[in-house]
Amino acid sequence: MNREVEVVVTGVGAVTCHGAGADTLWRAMTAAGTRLPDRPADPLARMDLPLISLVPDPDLTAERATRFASLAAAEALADAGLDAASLDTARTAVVLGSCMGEPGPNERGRGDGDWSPPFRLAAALAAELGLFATVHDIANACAAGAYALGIAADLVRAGEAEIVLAGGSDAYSRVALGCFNRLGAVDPERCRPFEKDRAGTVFAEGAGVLVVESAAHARARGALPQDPGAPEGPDRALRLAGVAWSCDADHPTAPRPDGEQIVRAMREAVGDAAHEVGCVVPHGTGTRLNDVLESRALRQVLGERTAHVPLYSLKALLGHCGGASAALAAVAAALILRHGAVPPNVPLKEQDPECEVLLPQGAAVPLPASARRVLVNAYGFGGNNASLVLAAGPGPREGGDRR
Amino acid sequence: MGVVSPWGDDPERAAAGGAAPLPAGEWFDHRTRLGPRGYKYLPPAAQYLLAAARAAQADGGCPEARPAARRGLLLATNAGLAGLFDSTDATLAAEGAAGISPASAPYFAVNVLGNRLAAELSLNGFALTFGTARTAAVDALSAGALALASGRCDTLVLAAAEELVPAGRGGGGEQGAVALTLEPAAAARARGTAVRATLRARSLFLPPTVLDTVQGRARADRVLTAALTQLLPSAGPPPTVHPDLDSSPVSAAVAASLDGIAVRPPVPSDPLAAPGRTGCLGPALALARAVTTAVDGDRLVVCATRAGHVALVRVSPEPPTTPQESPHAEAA
Repeated sequence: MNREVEVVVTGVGAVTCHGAGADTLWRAMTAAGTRLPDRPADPLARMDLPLISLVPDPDLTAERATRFASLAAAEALADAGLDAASLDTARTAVVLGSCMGEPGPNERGRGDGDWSPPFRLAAALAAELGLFATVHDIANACAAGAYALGIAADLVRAGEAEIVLAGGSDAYSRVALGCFNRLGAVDPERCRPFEKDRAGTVFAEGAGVLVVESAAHARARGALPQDPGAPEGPDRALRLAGVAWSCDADHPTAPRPDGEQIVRAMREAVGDAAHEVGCVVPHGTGTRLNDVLESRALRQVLGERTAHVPLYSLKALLGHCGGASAALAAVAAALILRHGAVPPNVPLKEQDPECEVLLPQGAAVPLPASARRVLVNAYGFGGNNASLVLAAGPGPREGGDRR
Repeated sequence: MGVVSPWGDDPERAAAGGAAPLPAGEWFDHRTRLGPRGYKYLPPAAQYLLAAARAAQADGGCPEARPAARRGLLLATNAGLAGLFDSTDATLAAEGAAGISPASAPYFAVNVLGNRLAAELSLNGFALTFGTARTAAVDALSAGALALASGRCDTLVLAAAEELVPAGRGGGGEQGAVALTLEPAAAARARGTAVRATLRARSLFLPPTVLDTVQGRARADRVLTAALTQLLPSAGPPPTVHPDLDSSPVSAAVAASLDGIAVRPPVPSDPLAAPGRTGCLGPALALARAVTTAVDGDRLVVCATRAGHVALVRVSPEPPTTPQESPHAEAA
């Protein structure tokens, strides 16, 4: 394990309720419009709030999560300038996170055969691309995508893979939506993080995939300037500067009230560069507990800067994409860094005064040159917490950042 | 190491029992195994996990020797919650979401299966959940070794659990749980703790369609040979193989690569090569069995699936009989 290896993200891909493509996502981010969730055409979804923001793909019986992952991966590879031949000569791993995997075949009316193991997205992608290397499906609920990115970084540093396709994908599951209804955790309108009268989250479908590799490998194939000190261009790869994990080991659904473990994960991911964090893409789900606890935790990590560091609340735009949400948040972070600006948030009616965070609306906020890091948080049921930092610009030394 | 199964808690008997019919009657009583209160509403697979973890601690496993923030959990399951999902789906269709038990609602996220275990052992480092068909437990092991080598933790609890698939969804599957407590080999020896065996794991993938061609099979053989060469010692007697293979081209490729390495052939009529392969317990039990029998020499647990997953684990006796090897991806 060489912890000095600098890990970079050289390509991103996204599929969301707004359609396919990272550009589509960016346009939706900058437009900051409100999109109401859909009601799936599922007669067996007998629940008060059968709401979910669907990817525009009408077939509910198909292998949706697999398709979304494939589309996002194809875009990420093209974005990274990698073709089939490049993948074939490198050791390319696949690590995908998902809350439900491919649930459709096991649900009535959507696939009525024998039970089939749902966590097979990574295998499907690796088979499609003809890859020989580590292939993992990570079932870490709503933090799964961030865990996938952490494993990707570790694989690269350990020299076990030269390229890793890492991310997450989730699609409609009647069981998941029904259980969330039973938990009373669904907002009747849409996903409205940090709103004073927020009443829960609203699920969404989606996939986010990132190409992760070592800076040396990216440089050798021409994806990065040979001189690490060269001025960066707008398309320069971004550093995966830190990915940290923690576990509340407490209540299955409610976060620990003291926020100790989520603070620890944030601090480890940020390291000694808290002053360079220019934006946060929070977990921010719209549930009563998460948003206020995360706000307080951010204040512990960023201190007085909290009042000045803009948050970009992605779930207000997309809904809660389950295991894909952290990967899509990382894609959004990459887009923010590439464009050098934080788009306006979907407008809030009235921000909760207990959530003392900055949520700019109405206009984009430029990222200062001295603060070109974006912190992404992801928290899942079971107290599975993860934070990661994407950074633009050269690393502090040739060896790169802290984990 | 701890094992909980319908055929008893001995690894050899549990592994051998996988091909036999399930014993009649209730084989697991959470009141006697876990305690009179507080466990009734946990799904059975979560109960098995707790019992197996406690057995591992009784066997000498000591995750509490490390600070809570340095303890990790690796959870593996395939059908551990399949029955709950199916009954929840039936409830939705018949009476709607209001009919779902609130105690069971959180388990739509399969990782919640490990929540109580993480809480009881204060596993605050992280929790990683694997659901890969058949190889989940050994994939978790290789990821765990990577996490140890990356410095994300100093000790791990690896726990695999399964429950039967509902009859209406094909039936079959496995029941029970296996738990291992793991830490870096060098750290365990330095601490003077009793080490049962050393494990070295490798997970890889063989894209099935590539095996349709001669060139593809040749490449698969090179990949497998390289992995086995990296995993196995360059000197010393060949390991005894514990295979968990099916009739797929992927398994055929793996079996062929084993022929090319100087290993002893599989023991004839090995009960671990049973045809029923729904669930991830089979390879986990093979690991447990290998840990128990490693005193006689290296073991190699090999698992492959039609989908392309291949997992290899070398289980070595303690103390090591070969010169110090690379510490990466080792766990004691």
